[in-house]
Amino acid sequence: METDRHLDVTPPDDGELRLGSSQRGVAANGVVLALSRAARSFLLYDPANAAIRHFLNALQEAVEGYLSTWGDLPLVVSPFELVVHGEVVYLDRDRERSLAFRLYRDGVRRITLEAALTWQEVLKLLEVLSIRYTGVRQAEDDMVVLLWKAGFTHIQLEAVEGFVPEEEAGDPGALAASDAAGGHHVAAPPDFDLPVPLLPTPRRVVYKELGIGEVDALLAEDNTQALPDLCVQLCAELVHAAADPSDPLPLAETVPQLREIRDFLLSEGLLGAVLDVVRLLASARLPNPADARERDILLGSFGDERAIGRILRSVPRDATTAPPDLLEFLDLLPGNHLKMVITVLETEKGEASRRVARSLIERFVPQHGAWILDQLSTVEPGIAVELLRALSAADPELGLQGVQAVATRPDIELQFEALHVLEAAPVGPVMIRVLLGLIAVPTEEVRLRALDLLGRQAIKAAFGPISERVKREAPLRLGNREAEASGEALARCDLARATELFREWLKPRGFFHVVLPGQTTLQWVAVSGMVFVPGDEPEVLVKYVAERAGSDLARHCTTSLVKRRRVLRGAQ
Amino acid sequence: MNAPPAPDLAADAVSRDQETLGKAIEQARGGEDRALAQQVRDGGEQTVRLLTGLLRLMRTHHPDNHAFDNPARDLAAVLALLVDLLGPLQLVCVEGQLYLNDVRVRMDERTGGAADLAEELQRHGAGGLRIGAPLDEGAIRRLVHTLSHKPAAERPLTVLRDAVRDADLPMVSVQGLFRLRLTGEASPEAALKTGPREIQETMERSAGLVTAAWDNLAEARVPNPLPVRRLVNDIIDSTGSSELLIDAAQSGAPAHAAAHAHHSLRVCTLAVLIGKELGLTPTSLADLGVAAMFHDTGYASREEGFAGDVAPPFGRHGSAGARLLLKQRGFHQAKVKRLLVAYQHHRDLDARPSLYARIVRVADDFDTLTRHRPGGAIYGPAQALARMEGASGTRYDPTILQAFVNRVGRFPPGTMMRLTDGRWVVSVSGVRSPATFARPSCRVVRDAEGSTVADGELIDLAVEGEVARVIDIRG
Repeated sequence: METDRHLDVTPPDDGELRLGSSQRGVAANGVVLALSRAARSFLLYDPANAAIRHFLNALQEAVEGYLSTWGDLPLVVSPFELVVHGEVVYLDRDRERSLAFRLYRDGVRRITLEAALTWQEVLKLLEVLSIRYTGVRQAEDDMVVLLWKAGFTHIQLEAVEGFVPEEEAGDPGALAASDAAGGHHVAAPPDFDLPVPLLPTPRRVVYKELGIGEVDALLAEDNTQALPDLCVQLCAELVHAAADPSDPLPLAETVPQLREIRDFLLSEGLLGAVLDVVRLLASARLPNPADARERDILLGSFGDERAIGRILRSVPRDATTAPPDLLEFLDLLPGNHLKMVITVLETEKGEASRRVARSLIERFVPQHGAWILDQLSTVEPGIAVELLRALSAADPELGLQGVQAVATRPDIELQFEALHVLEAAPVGPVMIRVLLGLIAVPTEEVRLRALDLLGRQAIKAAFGPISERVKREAPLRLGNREAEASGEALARCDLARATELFREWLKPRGFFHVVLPGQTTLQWVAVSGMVFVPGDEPEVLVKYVAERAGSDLARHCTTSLVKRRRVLRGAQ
Repeated sequence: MNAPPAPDLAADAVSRDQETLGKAIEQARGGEDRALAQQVRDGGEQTVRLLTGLLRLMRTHHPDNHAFDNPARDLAAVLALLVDLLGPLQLVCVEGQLYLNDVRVRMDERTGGAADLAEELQRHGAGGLRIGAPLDEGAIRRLVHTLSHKPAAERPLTVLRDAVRDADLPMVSVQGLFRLRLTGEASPEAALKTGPREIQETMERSAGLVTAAWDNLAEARVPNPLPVRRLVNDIIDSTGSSELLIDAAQSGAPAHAAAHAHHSLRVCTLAVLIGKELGLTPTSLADLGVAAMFHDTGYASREEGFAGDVAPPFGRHGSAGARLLLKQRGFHQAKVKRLLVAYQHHRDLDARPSLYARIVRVADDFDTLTRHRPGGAIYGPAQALARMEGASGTRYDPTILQAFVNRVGRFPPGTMMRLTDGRWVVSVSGVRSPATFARPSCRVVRDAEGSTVADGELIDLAVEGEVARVIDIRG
């Protein structure tokens, strides 16, 4: 998220004038400007954006400031103006932007924010305004209905609730009635809702106070937490209707509703309810082949990128593997969702989501290992890392093949992941080949880890390539850290040959002690490697070098001798 | 306002606020039927533009002129599309704005349109047009020609209405001026002041709306719950107390309304009454009321039968209703609950129907049992209630039924009783307090001598009179 420091939170407010001639008017102007900007901000920014945070803070400050100083804020709404106690405190003639116009157009004529207003009420008001600003037009609610539903305690509204004929003697049913101009009316049959329910023997009715627990239980069925259950219930009805041979309802007619429910449940991250819906669909016995096809398409849509992404985001933060519900969910969906999981990984940043996605990929390895292997050379590095990790966790042998597949890719994170896999792999030609490749990559950290691993595994076959590389690179660009790592690796890979080589580099033979190209670097390598060589000679040679070397190498000689003593003590 | 929290907590709180707002907007988007909204918006704008253009053209051209051909054809096509989508079209001009079936028509302010059309209509004292069926090009020419007449000096609206009738336009009606109705006009206080009249007006409007909603559903149009929701909100607002709700249920729809409109309104008001007794929030009451209004719409659908298309039988009307309601697009919890009511409102408790379905079941069965039919009612209200009480816990949710019983009493409004002094009375009130559970207010309909009393006195059984027995009014 952006930080406030980098924010440009100057909204497009050129047309909104700073108004108010009195102090109260100025304060009121501050409130309505803040409200208007905060409501509009959802058009421009993602709700989580820092800009929205800024606007909310500004709104809270402005509202608190006004109400604590001046008390109630009664806003009279006209098409382009908001007026407080006869003073115009807001004016914007831009229809798209104007808060006054939005309110007026949607039927609000007067709105009073009372002094006891709570921040939650301000937020609710902002929610209603934001929905209207974003241009959403719902079939169920308009602004007046939304404001009515909000049930404000400290916001009083005067709003248009519809039209009435102006003439006193007008036909009050003119608007609603399907009058003569409408022609024929449909009617229920005369015997509708019959036969009457067969009821048992009557019982005397008595007054009885309702038990608080009983009423609470009923009200719990009406709160928002119960909505997922109702959605599942409705899905059950729709699926049952499709399967009912006496009154079949083609599934195609219910699919839009089922998709809406799916989207709602996914947006709320309600995996349990989503799973219930999938179970219902998957287990439905649909005699009509067209319905069965529709069902499969619908089920498939539960595994699309958005759905999988939502589900992955809904897993608990401490999840390390896919929850059983998620596994069952995927098993019930037709087709192969591996591709979708991989696609989701491209955008999914959450640690838990990625962990769970990886554990899902691991499940696919037995059936789709070869396919995953193929992807490694083409998918983006971040994904390849996850695939490689999953592959090696599920099948080390395939993991090793995966390492080989990514070895030629230049991406650092991939090289590190390959090293990570190789750490746990048994020594073999693939490992050696890959590690020797990695000691020549551009990134020093990777080279160092590859050298370290070669040394720790004491791979004799690596001695030649490492020593050749050292000789070749020493005069050019072998840094001290790599020189040290190379020395250690050489000694660990083949102690005898290394000792001979180090001796030559530390104290060149011959009368003139011919200096080799990169001599200092070679000595650095040798001093580092001598740490692992037993006997008295290494100490003599290192001291010999130390006495003649520059300060850096001399210091390295001293450090290496200390280290050598420790290593040798450890070996004993 | 409440004091701001400490900085860290405040940061968290703001994040939560952001999340809440984001979710609300996302959910609102989920409830949108973009395609339909856009079609209505575009169609409305084209209608106004074309109609205004044709009226202008009429000033300079004869109606038979070919200049009318294209715009008249275009307007005919747009109207056909809109009627197909929305059913009868209601074009209303009010305070400089134009509304098509309650949807404000957005017009480009530079090209006018809304104001021009409003001006054309207002010359005749008219504020709206209702177009009940698609108009062909000829009808459009006649309508435009009629509207372009010079307004009569006296009673211009009546003259225009007559002219429209004479122009053979039975599918068009011209309406008078409208004004916007503000909140508070139908407040509980207002209802208390004006009482039954206010309720009757609401019921009248509701009956028309139920009829229109059924007509639209029967024509396989997309359900439009918004006007019904506004009316249910009105019913909730105008019947601030349970007693007024009972009055509303009693007064029901106007006499001329269809039986299904009566039933829908009664079930709606009784369901809201129960919901109120249970303590549902106003929003839930509105959702419940709308669901109740639509609970029987399955009967509006038609199935192929031997004698032409027929309504589905009792056993299938629930699923038939759901099928009609499923045409509405966009997720909304009210829609989910409404669909469940359509499916489940005749289910017994063991089938675990939803809360609203259980409430509507009580309201629905009570009305079905007590409804006046050609052969008379099946039971009187008291007998119906006693019968239903016998099925408490099996057919009916016991808490919901008890909530209903507690509100309407042992002798619900409409119950005919013989008092110990020989008078016959009809109950007119619900329960005003636990003590009056079996002692409602009543109106005397027959004196002790057995003579029918017109406009008899009101007596309060809490003050005088003892019930000897309930009169069986079955036909």
